[in-house]
Amino acid sequence: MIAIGNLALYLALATSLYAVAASLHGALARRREFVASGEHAAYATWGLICISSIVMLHALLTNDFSIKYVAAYTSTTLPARFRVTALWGGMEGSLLFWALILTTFTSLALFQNRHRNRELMPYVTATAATVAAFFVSLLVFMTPPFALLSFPPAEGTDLNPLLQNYWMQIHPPALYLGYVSWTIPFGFAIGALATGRLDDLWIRTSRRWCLMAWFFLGLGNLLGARWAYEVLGWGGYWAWDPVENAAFMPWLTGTAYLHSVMIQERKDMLKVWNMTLIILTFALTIFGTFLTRSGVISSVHSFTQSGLGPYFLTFLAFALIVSFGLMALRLRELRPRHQLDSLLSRESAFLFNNLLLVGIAFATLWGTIFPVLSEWVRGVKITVGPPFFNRVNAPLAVALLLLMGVGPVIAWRRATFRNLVDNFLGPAALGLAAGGVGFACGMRSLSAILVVSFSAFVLYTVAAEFHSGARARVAMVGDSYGAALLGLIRKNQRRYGGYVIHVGVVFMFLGVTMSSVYRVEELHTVKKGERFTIGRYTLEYQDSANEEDPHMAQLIATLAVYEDGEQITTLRPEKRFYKRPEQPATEVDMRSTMRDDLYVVLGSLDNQGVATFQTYVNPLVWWLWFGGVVLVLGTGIAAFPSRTATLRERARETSAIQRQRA
Amino acid sequence: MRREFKFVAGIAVIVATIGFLVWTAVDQTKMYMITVAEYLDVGNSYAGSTVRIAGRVAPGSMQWNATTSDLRFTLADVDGTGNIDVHYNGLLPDMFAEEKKVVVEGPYTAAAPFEATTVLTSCPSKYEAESKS
Repeated sequence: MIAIGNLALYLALATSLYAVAASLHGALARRREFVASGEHAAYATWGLICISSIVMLHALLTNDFSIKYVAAYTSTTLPARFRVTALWGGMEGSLLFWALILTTFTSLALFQNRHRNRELMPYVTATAATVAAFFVSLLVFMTPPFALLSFPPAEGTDLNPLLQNYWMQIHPPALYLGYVSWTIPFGFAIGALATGRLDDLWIRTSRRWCLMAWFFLGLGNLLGARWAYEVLGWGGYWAWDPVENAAFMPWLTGTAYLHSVMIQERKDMLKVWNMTLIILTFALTIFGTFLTRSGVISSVHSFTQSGLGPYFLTFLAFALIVSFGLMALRLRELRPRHQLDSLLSRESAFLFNNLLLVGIAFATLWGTIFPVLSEWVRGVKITVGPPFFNRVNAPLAVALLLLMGVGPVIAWRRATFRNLVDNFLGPAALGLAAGGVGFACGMRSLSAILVVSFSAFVLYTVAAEFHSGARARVAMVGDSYGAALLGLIRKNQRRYGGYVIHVGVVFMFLGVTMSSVYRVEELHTVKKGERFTIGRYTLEYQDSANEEDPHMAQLIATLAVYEDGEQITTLRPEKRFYKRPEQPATEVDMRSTMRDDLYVVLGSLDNQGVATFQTYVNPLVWWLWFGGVVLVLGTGIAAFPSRTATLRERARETSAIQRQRA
Repeated sequence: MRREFKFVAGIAVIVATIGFLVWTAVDQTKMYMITVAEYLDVGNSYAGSTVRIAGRVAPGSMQWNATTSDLRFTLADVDGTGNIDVHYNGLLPDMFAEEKKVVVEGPYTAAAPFEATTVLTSCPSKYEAESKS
């Protein structure tokens, strides 16, 4: 079995390298059979990586401790579902998993375009296969996943307890899907640069891939935040850790890209900028992997020291040189055909939105690599913590929130005074009113008031867009209001899906701002039967219990929660002691409502039953997660294939072909 | 020409604002990452700044008062030259134990003990960051 897994990896390296060579030769020499052969090799790589992954999964599920990786990340007492999770629990496995997703997506993209975009596809194959060859070569030469132990232990070391968690099962796959799927649009961009087909063909073809990549990256981040919130037990969900930043940066540049391509499609402008954004986004996904693998920047979580750093940096440099080199050769052809007309226009709202998103990404990058930079330049290791990121990014994010309300309703080209009054009087009034109400309710934090005010502003503009569109449809088609609203969304899924995503983002803004500004945190040490109060809640420590099984021992405290003198719930925070490896862990318990979360951590529990509780009240944090759900819904609307969109796309392609022939 | 100038000016203002924010924020939030030996070295001046000191919990030095949530211990240099007495009020971190490598954060003071605002523990052997990411 193990031999098969290894053999499949070696062969995958060969097929991926062959795919690069055959595709490039086929494209440059215009030899169709080589292009086809390159594509077949890419499919073959996928098949081989699948075999290798199946061998690994089988070994994990059957506890084959002769494999070092299996012995390091599973045990006989580990539940089967976590043995599957162990595939991405460590370095070798996650690289293999990465290669699996990449080759799967490559095959999907190739299959999807088997009759289309024939000119671009060889370069897509070559790009994706180059990335695959890089990851597979790491697996073959640097971190062999099937390395054997000369003396297989009777019991494995087990998966880190912090990873034995529901969120941890779905968070890494989501994040990897997001990271990896950026390779496909990047491949199309390279194809456009190489062939000189620099119209918006590559953008339209890869649009759904971008949306998917953006979506999974965002979802991965959100699930990671949720995991941190539930498992790490410090009452927060985002710590600006290098590993988190690594996943956040490509999401930001990807968001900028999704917005600025609209300008290119409509106005044929910003071509260089869009190219730059997609290249940067791809580079940041590789850089992110580098950050998490290399241990160059010591993060609170990351102590993985591996020799992979230089390889990633070399590959990153190679990718940047090739892509920006190609772009430099095409610079003349990338010149815009139009110019920006006015500062007060939708184009410039998009432009400033892009600047802010890239600005946040830059500040995050700067803060993340600052320790390395300062050591190089001044020889002192200086780090900047979460306060840095909050201080820089909060004002930029608030400005972004404001633009989110401006962008969708301001006129294209040049907004007239009339247009501004018509579109913004209502939203601005509501925004001011919301800010005023916030102030009257005792809010004194400027950022909180601004966020409330701008959120109301954005929600009003989005609602107005839906309403005016639906009303126009009622007048035109004669539908009922509800049917008109549905028809409107169906007719232009991308636009209205985007608005729904904006609503989700507003909810997330509210959740993040309120839970960071108005969080209450208290530490109480109590005996059994004693009570303590936090915010509007009173907690009574009733009982403690000990439980033990072969996998772990648990200390459980029981607290009755009262609000206005009535018991509303019972919370049971735990302290766990895992046996392999011997490690304590905190199991938080919380009561989550739309208004706030009561979040209780059991700090310690002594023999006499005296317990220490760290308790938090996090207002509106529920809206962060709910915003995520809305975001999923919005992306679904924007990306879901529909008849109208397919027909429109087909009509466009036909007319493009006719134009070429003419 | 005037139109282009307006855009260039607008972009320049935003870029400058971002640059200014980054610059001032670094200055206000920077934290020196040092070892115990570097902290004790009188040649270095960290007065007025925040420091993050890496070291090891000296054997036999840990005192944990569960009632008041006070943690006192001696932070020893990993290579064994110099000690700092540390005081921290808060929950005992899960992985905290004697002989473990830890990192403490707090404002620099000449007086002992060092008042840590944060104590970070690590488990170098096993914890894989990429899975967390």
